[in-house]
Amino acid sequence: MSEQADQKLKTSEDAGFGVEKKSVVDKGKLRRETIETVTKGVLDRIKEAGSGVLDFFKKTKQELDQHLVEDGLKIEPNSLSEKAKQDLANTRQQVDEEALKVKEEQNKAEVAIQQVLGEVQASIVSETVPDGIKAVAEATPEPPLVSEVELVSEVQPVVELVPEKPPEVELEQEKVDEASKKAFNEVLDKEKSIEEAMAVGEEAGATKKKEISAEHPEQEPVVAGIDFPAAGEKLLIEEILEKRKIEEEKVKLGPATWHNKEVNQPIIVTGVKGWGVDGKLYVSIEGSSTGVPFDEIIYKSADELTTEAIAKDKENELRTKEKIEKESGTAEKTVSVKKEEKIGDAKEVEFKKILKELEASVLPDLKIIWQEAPAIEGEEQSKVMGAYLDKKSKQKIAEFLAKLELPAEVKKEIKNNVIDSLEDRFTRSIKTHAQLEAAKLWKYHKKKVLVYGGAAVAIGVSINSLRMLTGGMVGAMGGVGRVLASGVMGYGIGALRGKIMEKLQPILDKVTKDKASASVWERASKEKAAQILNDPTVVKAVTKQIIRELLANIFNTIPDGNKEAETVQQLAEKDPAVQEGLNKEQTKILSKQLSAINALGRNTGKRLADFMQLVEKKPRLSQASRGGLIGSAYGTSISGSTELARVLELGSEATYAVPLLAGAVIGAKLYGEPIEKYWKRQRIEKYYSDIKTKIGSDQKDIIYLSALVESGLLSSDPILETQARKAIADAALEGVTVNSAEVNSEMDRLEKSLKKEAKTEKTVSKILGFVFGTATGVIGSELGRLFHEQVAHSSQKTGIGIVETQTTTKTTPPPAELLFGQKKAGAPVEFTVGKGKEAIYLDRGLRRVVADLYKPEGKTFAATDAAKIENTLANLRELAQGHEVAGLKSADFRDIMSWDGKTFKVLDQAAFENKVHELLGHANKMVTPEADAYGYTAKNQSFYEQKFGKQMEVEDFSKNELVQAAESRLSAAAKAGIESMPGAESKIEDYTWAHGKNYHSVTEVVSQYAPKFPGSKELHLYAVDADGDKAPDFYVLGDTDDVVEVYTKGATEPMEDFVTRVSQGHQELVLEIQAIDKALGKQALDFNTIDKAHLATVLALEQKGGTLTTESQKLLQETIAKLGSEEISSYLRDQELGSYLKSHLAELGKEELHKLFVEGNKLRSAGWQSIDYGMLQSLLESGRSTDGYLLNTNLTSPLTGKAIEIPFTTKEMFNKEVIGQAYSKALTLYNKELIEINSLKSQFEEGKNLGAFKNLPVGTIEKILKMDANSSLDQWKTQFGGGNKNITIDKLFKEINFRTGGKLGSGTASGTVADNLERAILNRSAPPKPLAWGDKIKEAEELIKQAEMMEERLQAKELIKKADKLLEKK
Amino acid sequence: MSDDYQQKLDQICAEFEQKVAEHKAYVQKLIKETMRKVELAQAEKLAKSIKAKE
Repeated sequence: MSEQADQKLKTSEDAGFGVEKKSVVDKGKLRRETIETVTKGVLDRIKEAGSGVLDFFKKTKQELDQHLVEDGLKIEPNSLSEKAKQDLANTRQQVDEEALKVKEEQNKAEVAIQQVLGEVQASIVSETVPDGIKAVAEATPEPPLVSEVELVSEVQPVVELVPEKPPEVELEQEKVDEASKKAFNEVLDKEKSIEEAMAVGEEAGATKKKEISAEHPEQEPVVAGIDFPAAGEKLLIEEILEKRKIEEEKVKLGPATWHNKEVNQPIIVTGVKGWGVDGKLYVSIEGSSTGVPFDEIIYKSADELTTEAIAKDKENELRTKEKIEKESGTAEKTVSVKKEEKIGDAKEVEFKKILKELEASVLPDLKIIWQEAPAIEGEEQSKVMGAYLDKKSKQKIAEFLAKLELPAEVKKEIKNNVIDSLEDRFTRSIKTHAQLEAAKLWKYHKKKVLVYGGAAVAIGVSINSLRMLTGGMVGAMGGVGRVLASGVMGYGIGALRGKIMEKLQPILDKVTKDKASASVWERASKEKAAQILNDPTVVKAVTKQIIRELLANIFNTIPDGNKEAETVQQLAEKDPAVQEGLNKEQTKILSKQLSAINALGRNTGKRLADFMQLVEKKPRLSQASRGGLIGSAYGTSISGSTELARVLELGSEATYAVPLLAGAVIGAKLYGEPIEKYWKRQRIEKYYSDIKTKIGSDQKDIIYLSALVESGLLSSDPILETQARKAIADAALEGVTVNSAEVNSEMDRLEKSLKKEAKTEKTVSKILGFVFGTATGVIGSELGRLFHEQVAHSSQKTGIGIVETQTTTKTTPPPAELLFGQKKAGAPVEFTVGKGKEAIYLDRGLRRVVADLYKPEGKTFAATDAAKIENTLANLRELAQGHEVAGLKSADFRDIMSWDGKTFKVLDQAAFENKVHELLGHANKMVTPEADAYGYTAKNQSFYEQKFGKQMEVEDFSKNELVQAAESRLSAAAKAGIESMPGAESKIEDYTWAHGKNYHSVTEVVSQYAPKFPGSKELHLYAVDADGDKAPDFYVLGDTDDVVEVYTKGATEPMEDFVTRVSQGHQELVLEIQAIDKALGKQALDFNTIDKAHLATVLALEQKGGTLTTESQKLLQETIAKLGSEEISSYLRDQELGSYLKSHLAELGKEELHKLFVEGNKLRSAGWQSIDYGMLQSLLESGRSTDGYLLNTNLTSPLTGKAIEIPFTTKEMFNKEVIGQAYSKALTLYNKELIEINSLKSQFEEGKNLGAFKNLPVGTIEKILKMDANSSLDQWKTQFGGGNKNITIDKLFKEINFRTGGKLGSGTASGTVADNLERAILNRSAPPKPLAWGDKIKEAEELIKQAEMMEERLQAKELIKKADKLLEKK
Repeated sequence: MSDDYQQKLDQICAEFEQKVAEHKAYVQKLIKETMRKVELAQAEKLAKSIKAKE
């Protein structure tokens, strides 16, 4: 370490620990400084030593090179012999290798230093438990290999080159951090930092405050009345401490009176005792070890004291106290939860109500999902949760909109568009953010994530619980898979999961695969856990660490978060009570602290609110980001302070609070962006579409457009911006010029108009942000609790107990949806199921009942056993619901069991059991190898394992062929929209078709299930709404030869009558459609009847008694006008296009529609079964396209220079997910290619690793990549080699050949070297890309070439033969 | 910051420095040998060419 650093360390240590009365803050600061100094000193030392020797190596190599160069100048015989040359080259290589080793050592040393420093830091925050930290440190796995680190650190441009893609989390943490900041700054508007705004705010001062409160009186206690924080404002903790100091100074030693309601007693004050958990200052008094509250001390003798005087003193004191509070900020006010509640104004009450509503509406469903979760596979699970979250949020928006006082028009717009827009942009935005969060979390929590696996992931993503760590560490390990799933579910997105999974996969593999047997992992974790958990001090230490990190992390996600995070740390450092443990009393203290922290969050929210008000006039600042952030402030203050404080004050259930807080903050942020984007886009599109029509003729429009571009309004949409710039450029070419003054005044005008619009948007965004934030918070906290339950459950299973903490724990009632009565042996079964999910829970209850009565035989509980139970319970369900089944009549069960849609009761237990046995007997016959019942077994694997696992081995149903076959049958049926109709006999009537299925899949269905219709013929299925109730009444199945068969849903009237009735209605409808067509002056529609029906069905035209409604008439007219009579039929063949068209007709121009149709057609011919046309439209808008099989991503391959095209892996739903998958694959490929090319360059051009010479000119690798893959090594050498270069070329050839899979120069490769490399990269992680047509042609050309060569050779042979013969003759 | 940690850090630094010194020494030795070999080879070659001339 340098002398300077030593000196500084010494000084700071003296200052930090030597001076007693130095404040804690200063101590903390000095300690941090010390650590920083030491870190720098030590790392410098390492670097110095490392770079010294590396310099030496460099010089050595230069010397060696010099010999070789000189040798080249020398003339024989003075030049070096080949052997000497070789020696020099070898030595040079060895020097390189040594350099690498040194680098590796340096890296190791640095890692070791960081580890020690980590320990130092940890010991400072909880000095009492060095052992605990040691345990953590010891458990830390090896750092990544140096070579990996080096490789990635050299890949510089990955993040910058593709700005719109999510950053590559694993590639480079620093970059990601930057990207993370950038992303967040975008939300806040990067051009105007908070600090700047704060400075503005300071100037604006008190007047602004008034304006704010006048504008938003309803927010009084939250926004107004708070001093606007200045830049460089003191930390809250400092304020608190300062205030405390002032109070402490007031304490006078000596005689005084202790006075309160009960006491009026003379005492002698001997000193300051300290600050109590109630936030009061206590003083020590003579003759007692108990402190007395300072605010009950009066410095007058009891005799002097009259009641009046006391009252007056008290009053004065209170006034002073209030004044101090007002001056110094907020903390004490908000620390006290009681006071907080008093403040609660109407708005807050309203929000509390909303919170309750949310709880009531969200939680029961969540529980259901959670109950189902074990049966759903991981990926699927996150989808389910994601969909749920999505749906609930949208639903909530709709509800809140209904409550808002907004113009109906605005509401409608939001309802129709915001929600759609959210859906469309939701995934990408959240994925990006989730990845950023994950990246951050990964960086900061890497150590613990690795140590505690899923547990820390849960903490990191802020979904799961604090309690888990205090109580269920071991259990958490057992349930690690679920932790991940639930952590991810909070965000509803697989991306985060994917990123984390990559790192945790090895751990997870062990946990999941070896679950049944006590695996190595389990044993290891048990040991480790025992080691950790046996020492309560360690547990506490770790817990505290994690709490702090978690909180720090939460605050890192909001502006000014670093300061807040620091404050958290300081709070934690300061309070010895927290360090010593978490008993009930101390939990209270912690809760106070958390409340204080929460107050900080609230403070931040206030600042933001003020900030937003102040920068109102800046049109660039997004309303929605303000909304999101205000939402986060509300989210924190409402859900945080009430829930968190309430929960923690009770000393339990901390589980909910922290994720709630985090969820609210992060949730609001995550959701803020899509809303923001929507607003921006809508606004821009509006302006742009106005302008688009006028461009080129009117000078003012160009000014307007310039103003839009200049003001940055278009920056969120690069495509629009490019178009706008192009329009400006075009105008300039035509001689239209603009001057900047005009543009400026136009910008001012824009600003004003935006300001106006902003007002409405603000209100809405605010609410939306809040709703999302709170919803996420609620869901997050609930998941935390559910998680804990799950942990408890799995820990029972694994036999590892949960260590209960000293905190009292509320008993959680059993899930409401399935309440079994207290069951005594032989007592009748009775259970109640939750609302809305009867089918699921009735099944579940019955499964239990039937399984109870089922007696499996043999050593294994097989799929057949489970299928029998499934069959029986299905029959029982049908009977309970009043259907007849399996030769049994529902009526026969009337006295045995009852089901009212909510409660299932067994009325006669003995008879019931007999019936179940009868059904089980029936099942013996029914469960044939083809039985569908097999299809339900694997889903319920966990149930059967739980039920029968103790007494016998349970087969893995999912591996059973019968189960697999049944599952695929069931899923095919589900996909085709076929539902089984109970009680029906023959196969064809057994099914009905869901409305809205598209043409192709129906054809498939028909060919499978309706053998009357030959599969070769074109078949149509039409769902027809005959009575105008918007539900299909019957389905017409027919082919082009007019063979028509009608299937009714209920068959309530004779088929013939029904057909007649309906076809009459149709005739009339068709005539009307034709009349409309004629009236438009077009050629009459020339469809056959079925096509007309099709048209009516596809557009879902509404009619009454054969006459179209006015709305439908209008729709039809517009459609025909836009598409033309000739094309309309073919356009509308695609029902999904039809329905998209119906709702988006107004927005789509003819050209756009045509494009959509053409693209849709490509997808259909590629075999896509379903197309989300909304997504297709956005894809086209963003300038990307498909050829049905491949996604053209607009990304250019760094290797081949060609566009990157990614094959789709599925041909089912063409939707955002599929596009997203393909796109992310493209990005991955793009990044991998960058890495590839960079690694090649660094290896060969910088002379690394292979010890080659630095004499490959720049650009050689690029040129080589463009070469034909069949070029031989010699050809490479001829073109790029010569002399010493040949060695490098040789190595390069081998390297690339290895990377491409060894076909270079073989004569069988196709395409360029780059093509092969790209293919190889793609194949490294994905199935091989099908050969594109271009490749196939090339391949064919290759074959032809070879054939020609062969022919030439044969001809040559012939010639030689002839020549030989001639020679012989001679 | 306790002496323990300080000591640990010093130890890491010292270990690293020692390893670096070892690598350096190895390279120095290597260079010395190589240069010797090269000189020898050159001398041999010279000798051969002189012989050939003679």
